[in-house]
This record gives sequence, C-alpha cells and structure tokens, in this order.
Amino acid sequence: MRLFFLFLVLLSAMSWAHPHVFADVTVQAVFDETGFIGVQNHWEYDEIYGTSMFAAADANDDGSLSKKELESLKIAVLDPLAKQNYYNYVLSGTKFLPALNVENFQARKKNGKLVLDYLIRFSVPVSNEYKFLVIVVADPSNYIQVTSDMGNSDAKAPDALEVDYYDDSLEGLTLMQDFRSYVEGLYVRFKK
Amino acid sequence: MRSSVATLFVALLLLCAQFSFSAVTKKKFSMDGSTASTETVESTPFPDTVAQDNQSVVSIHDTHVFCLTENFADQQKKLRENIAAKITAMKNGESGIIWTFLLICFLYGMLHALGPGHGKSIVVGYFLARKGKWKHGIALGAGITFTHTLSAVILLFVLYGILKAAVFPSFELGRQGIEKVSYGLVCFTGLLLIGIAIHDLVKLLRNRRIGENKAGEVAVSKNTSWKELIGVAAVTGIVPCPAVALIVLFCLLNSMVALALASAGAVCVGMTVTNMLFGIAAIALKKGIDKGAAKTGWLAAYIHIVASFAGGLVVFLAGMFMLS
Repeated sequence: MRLFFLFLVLLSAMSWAHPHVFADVTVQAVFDETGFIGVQNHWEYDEIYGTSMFAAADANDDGSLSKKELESLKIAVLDPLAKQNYYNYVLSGTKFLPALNVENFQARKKNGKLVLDYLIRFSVPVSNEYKFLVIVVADPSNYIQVTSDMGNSDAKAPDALEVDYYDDSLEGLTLMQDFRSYVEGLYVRFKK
Repeated sequence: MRSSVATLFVALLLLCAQFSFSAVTKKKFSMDGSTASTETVESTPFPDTVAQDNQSVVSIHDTHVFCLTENFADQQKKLRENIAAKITAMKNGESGIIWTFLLICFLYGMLHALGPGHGKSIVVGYFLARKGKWKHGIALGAGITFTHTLSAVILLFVLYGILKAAVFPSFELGRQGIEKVSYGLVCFTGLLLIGIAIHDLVKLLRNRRIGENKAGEVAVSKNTSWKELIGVAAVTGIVPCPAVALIVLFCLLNSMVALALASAGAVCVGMTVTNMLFGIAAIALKKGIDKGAAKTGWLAAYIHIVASFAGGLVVFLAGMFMLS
C-alpha cells in the first residue's frame, strides 16, 4: 500500500507535462541601425498537428498555400497567441516587452512537418551604453511543448552596432520563474 | 577566365559580408552591466556559419540536469512522431504493423493522461470526500477518460462532416468553450463537497449532546452512488481531448476512418489505465484514513469531516487551477 502512495506522489509530481502540440524552435535577435527591432522565429511543428493546420488552411487542397491561404494559416496559428505575445518573451530590465506585430509570415512543409518563419517586431533603441535583453520562446501553459534550441539561435546586426549574445538557462531570473527549469534563453547585449 | 573572375567576385562579396556583420559575437558576458566579459565563446561571422560552428562551441550546458518533465514530454513527442510514421506506413500498405501502432497509441495515452486536465486530482479529491469501494475508484477513473475521448471523437466527426479538412481550428474553439464550462462545474462540485463537509460538521456539533459516538455516526461522510459517479465523470471528462482529436484527424486526412476509431480506442484505454490507478490509489488513501480514524474513537467523525473538506477543497482548487 505504501508503494501505491509513493506511485501516486510520483505521478502527481509529473503531472505538469501535458503537451498536445510539439514544436522545435530557433530564433534570431534582429537589429538595424536604430537598435533591436525583433525576433525572427523559426518553428517546426510535429507532423500530426502541422498536417491538421496545413489542411485547414489549404482551402483548394492543392498542397500549396496561396497568399490568401497563407493569411488564413497565420490567423489560425498566430492570432490566438497574440495575448501570449506569440510566446516570445523579451525581458528588458524588469519588464517584458510587448510584441508590436508579426511580419514576413511564411509557411512551408518540410518532410511532412509544418515550418513557419516570421518576425515578431519589438523596439528597443540603441544607445552608447550596453542594453541587455533575455529572449525566451516558450509556452508556460505547456499546451505546446516548445523545444527552443537557443544553442543554434543567434543574432543579426549591422556593422554600426556591437552585439554580443550567448545561450544559457534561466536560473536566477526572478521574472522567468514561470518557465520550466529546462527552458533556455538567449542573452543579448548591444550598444553603438 | 570568366569563371575565375566570377569566383573572385563571389569571394569579395563574402569578404564584404563578413566585415559588414562582424560586430555580432557569441560571447558570455555579465548581465549586471559590468564591462568585463567573462568568457568569449566564439566570434561568429554572421549570418551563415553560426549554426554549423556551434558544434565546436564550448557549451554552457555541459552540466545539463536531468529533468523529469522534460524527459516525460520528450517521450510523448517521440511516441507522437512514431504514431505519425506508422499511420503513413500503413497508408502505404504496411498493414502488418497495426498492433505495434495500437500499442504505441496505448502507451501515448498512458503518458498523456499524467498531464493536468484528465481528472486525476478530482478523482483523488472526490474519494477523500466520499466513501467508495475499489470498483467505484476504477469506474470513476475509467468514466472520466471514456467521456474525455468520446467527446473528442464525436465533436471531431461532427465538425469534420461539416468543415472537412478545415476542422481543427473550429475544434479548438469548441473545445475551449466546453473547457470553461466544465472547469466551472468542477469548481462547483468542489464547493458542493465543501458545503456537505461543513453541513456534517454543524450536524455533529448540534448532536454532541446525544453522545459523541452517536453524533459521529450521524455525521460520518456518505457513501458514493453510481448516479453521483456518472455526474462527476461527465462534468470532468466532457472536455474533448485535443491529443485524441489530432490523431483521429490525421487518420481521417489520410482517408483511414477505421484506423481513426481504433487509434482513439487505444489512446483511451491507455489514459484509462492511468486514471484507474489514481482511482484505486484514492480509494486506498480513503480506506487508510478510515482505518486510522476508527482507532481514535470519538475523534473519528471529525477526521472524516476534515478529509471530506480537504477532498472538496482539492476538487475546487483543481477546477480553479484549470480555469486560470
């Protein structure tokens, strides 16, 4: 009987992981001469979910997405995530930056998987002093199991800016406590 | 001659690109604003070489800690990939793998039901509040997952009949609506159980003058009934399971209707096993409390009331947690 209770406790401890959708994600912190302008997202969804969403958007069932169908896919996949900042959490100081909009939305199928690329716009102007950002892509509710590969994420900036970045865990960041322990962030600093 | 000029031109372009983006560096630095950088990981010419070169980068995560939830989610991910691969293989004529496929669906269901929203805390809370037998624990665990699966299959088939391939976004909208109502009802069930516990306590205190033992008999928590179990299973399980719906839809999109139903059945059986184990554990917990309480004499009634109150609270909080 004691074993049974132990089993119950063990199962309860595991009860947080409850994903319905799986996605592998890499990002790129994007800068122009004015400063940080957004996060380029690259999402590869699992085949089962990706096929469902692609089929929903592909109205004429020709296996490719027209401009109109692409827009309907964007509405179906990204619009419900607007309240969650499209799962792009950019910490600047003690605040999370609000996403301004989505740009350059593209979708394709790769080995049966749905691949989405888009830029989530943010705005942090550059100055002569370093500014620090932590970029995290995750779904705190874990409805989507986001595997963000920050080791293969990077930054893109023009010559006028000095940008450093590295990937690391979120340990020690109070504002990131809602994220699971294995979620990683892309730490970025930039100046003129 | 022409080709060597072209090669030179491309090389010059690449060189220019290298210089124009050389300000981007993969480097560990201090987040407190101090200027001393702690570790240069690698200078990375942007844009194309970063991803390839990271294989040789000194990893900051060499001491990656084993994480149970991550591992658990990874297993589900692998099983889902396996399910997709098996469906595709069967579509291509490999019908002999059906049993392997159903076994994978079963395992996926077992793992999937460990997540929140499958009624485990409600099963435990309910049987803390109500006395039940082993069969009741099994029935409630199974009833919740059966309803959870059936509602997904019915909603998906109805919407598929109307919308065809465009079904899933509508399914999600429908599910979210049902979810809110269901979680609200779970909260209400919890409040009801708390109310019953408080009512029992008031009754116990009023009857104290007729003797502690007799008063205890009056106030001890009630046995469950099949009617009540069906109600709890319906309220908790009515939220359609998106995991089942996605697999069923994937089969339908591959024109495999029978397989869609078989896969839903296998996932359902897997989830049922997990929930049944929780039901059995909950009954065991309650029996243990009853046994311990019986030894305390007149205190037993109070222990039962506290357990009932705690059970109601667990159910209520589970509903609130899912609502939030």
